[in-house]
Amino acid sequence: MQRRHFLIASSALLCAPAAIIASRELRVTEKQGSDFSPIISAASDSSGNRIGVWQADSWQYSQPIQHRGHDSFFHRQRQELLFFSRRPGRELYVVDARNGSVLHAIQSEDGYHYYGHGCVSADGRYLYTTENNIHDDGAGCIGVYDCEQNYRCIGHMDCEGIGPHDLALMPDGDTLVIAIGGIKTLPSRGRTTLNPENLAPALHYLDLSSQRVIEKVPAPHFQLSLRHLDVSPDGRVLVGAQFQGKLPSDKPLVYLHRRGQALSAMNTAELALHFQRDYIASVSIDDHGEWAVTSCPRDNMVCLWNMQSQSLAQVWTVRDCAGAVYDAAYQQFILSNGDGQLLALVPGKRTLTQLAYSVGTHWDNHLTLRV
Amino acid sequence: MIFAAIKLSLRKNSARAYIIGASLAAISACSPPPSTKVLIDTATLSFLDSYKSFSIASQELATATTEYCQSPNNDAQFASARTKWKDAAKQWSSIQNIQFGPLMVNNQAWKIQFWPDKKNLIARKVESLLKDDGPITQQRVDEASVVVQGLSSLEYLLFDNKAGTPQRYIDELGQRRCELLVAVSEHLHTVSAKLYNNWRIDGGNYLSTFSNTGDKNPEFPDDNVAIAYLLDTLVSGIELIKRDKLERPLGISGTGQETEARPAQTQVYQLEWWRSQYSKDAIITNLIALKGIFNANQGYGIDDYLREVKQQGELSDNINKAFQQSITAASAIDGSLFEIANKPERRQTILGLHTELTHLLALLRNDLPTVLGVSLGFNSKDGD
Repeated sequence: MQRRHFLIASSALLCAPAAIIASRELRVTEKQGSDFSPIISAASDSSGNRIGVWQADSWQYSQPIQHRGHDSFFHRQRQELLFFSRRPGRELYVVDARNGSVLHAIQSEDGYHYYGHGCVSADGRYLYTTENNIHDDGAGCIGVYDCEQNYRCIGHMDCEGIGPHDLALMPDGDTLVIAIGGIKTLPSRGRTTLNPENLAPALHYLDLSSQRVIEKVPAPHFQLSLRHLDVSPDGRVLVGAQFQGKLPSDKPLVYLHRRGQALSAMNTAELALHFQRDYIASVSIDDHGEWAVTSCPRDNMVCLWNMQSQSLAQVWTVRDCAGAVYDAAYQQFILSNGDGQLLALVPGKRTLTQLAYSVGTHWDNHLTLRV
Repeated sequence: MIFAAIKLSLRKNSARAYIIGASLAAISACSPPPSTKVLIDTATLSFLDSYKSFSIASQELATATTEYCQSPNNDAQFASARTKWKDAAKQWSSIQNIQFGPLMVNNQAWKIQFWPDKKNLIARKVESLLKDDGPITQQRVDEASVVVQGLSSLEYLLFDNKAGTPQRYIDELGQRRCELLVAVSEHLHTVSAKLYNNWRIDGGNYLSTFSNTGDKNPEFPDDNVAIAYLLDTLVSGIELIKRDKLERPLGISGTGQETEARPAQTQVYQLEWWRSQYSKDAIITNLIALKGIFNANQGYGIDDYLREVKQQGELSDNINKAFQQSITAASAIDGSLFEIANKPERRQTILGLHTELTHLLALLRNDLPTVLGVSLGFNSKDGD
């Protein structure tokens, strides 16, 4: 047995009782009559920006925050919710999943800011976040935090690309896949793109043991900024792009990738023509790797993809819809939008159904589940 | 069976009586709040009416092409088919900008209009279908690409300098060209009749989905969300006219600037309806329809809602004034856009329209959402 595997196995054992206890406690507060799993999200309403868990028809708990949030991550082993600030934010909140109290408010190291996304190692020990190394002229990197030491930052790994955005752990547990947006920004210049003529968007794979990038897959066009992704259980990566040039680009925006191969455009047949603003927000694959959903808030569209045939299956019109996550317990995708709606998308079903509605709540870009 | 029912109810008088009766029934159930009145009246007096007119116009177009193809030597019948095409294109212009509902399901809009056609696909795909073997039926058209369907394909068949002349219907491929003309126009009628049916109370009843908001409604949880879709329709409609119908094909910058030193880089083949030179007429109809949506035509529209509920009579009047000025400016353009695009001395009127649209768009995009309490896009405007 390799050392890493031993560590994973032993930590899993150690964590097991805690997880069981935690889930029992959660069940007590589980609301009746809800037809979706509790969601973790950032949102804005009349009182400002907040982060928290929404269950059935209300916040189970939430916290106000200073800035707009972005994505979140549920650290199952530790029963903690992690909320990442979007660029150029420097805050990272660790929230107790059991009661919603903020355990840590982490600030990025001096000279670094977050890009809004993060994930943890297979054993739950380390947190990885996409970051901007401001003093290195906006070079992208992956921050590494020790979850067991109050999320202390223990270093940064070079991801060899500017503007890393979404990232995920591959099923092998040893590799991170990182969407490299290619867009250089520096806090002194706000959110302005500083390298519009020289973007180098790509998909990068980073080996965690050597801390080196081991595979780079360039985007088919230099302005096709790869931003969000999801990984199927068998290691296929689906990545969504946001075009940075003249719109509409008429280019495919969603690509499938298998290690060692080139990016393969998902087939949209004639529907590609429908995009006007070329902007994919969230990407989510179901737990069998059969279906995937991408949201296109600038075109008020949601797309369902058949992962087997690599083709577009259905399109719905939903205003300002950005969040998308697969809810395995209810075999549905959950969508969120800027109008305060949470909707269920069931592959094969013609219409969407509404799960919850909160007047005046604007759900932020991404959804995660607390399950 | 369904078609018989649709055709029957398309008789104008009976349809109108039915619609008025239905809407009265909906209203009289209880007096709805003003926001609901906006939805009911806009849907009934604007959308439903537009879908009905489009369905009728495409039915008449199908009849005209069928009659023409029974006597392809009759030039008057060909002229009549062209007129009916223009009527149908005009009615489509009242629907084109609607940003929700049955039109958005499975690409219906592309089945009606394929534009812009940057790679000249319409000509290529229509001609290759004509050279193919096998009978050309409505089903064949339906299974083929959207490029050979709808008004765009029919425009090519009826107006193209080479392919859309009466001569082409009596030469050796004439019979087959006629089969396609008839099949595409029948297909268009099927699509338009389905859309109308999806809105009708006795059909898909999208009318109720749109105007009967609430917890059980999958699309519109309250009136404000439905009103937000109306706002989207107005804003994206004016954006489409300004950007896609003027700026891109005519080489006008977003700010409307034009210098004499540098002639505009026009792309006239990206004009909407360049073959029939119907671009300007379509823009005028777009504007009249969008104004009609803002006012629910003669009913209780956003205009009244602004005045009575939001105490914003001035904004309401300003928007109506800006609509009227845009319509006037579009009507003042002498000649077709295709014809005057590259004549600098005649482009002034186009720039005049562009200026009016910029003003109207600012009112709709900046002032109206705040007053209505609707966000134009939380994630779409400022995502990451």
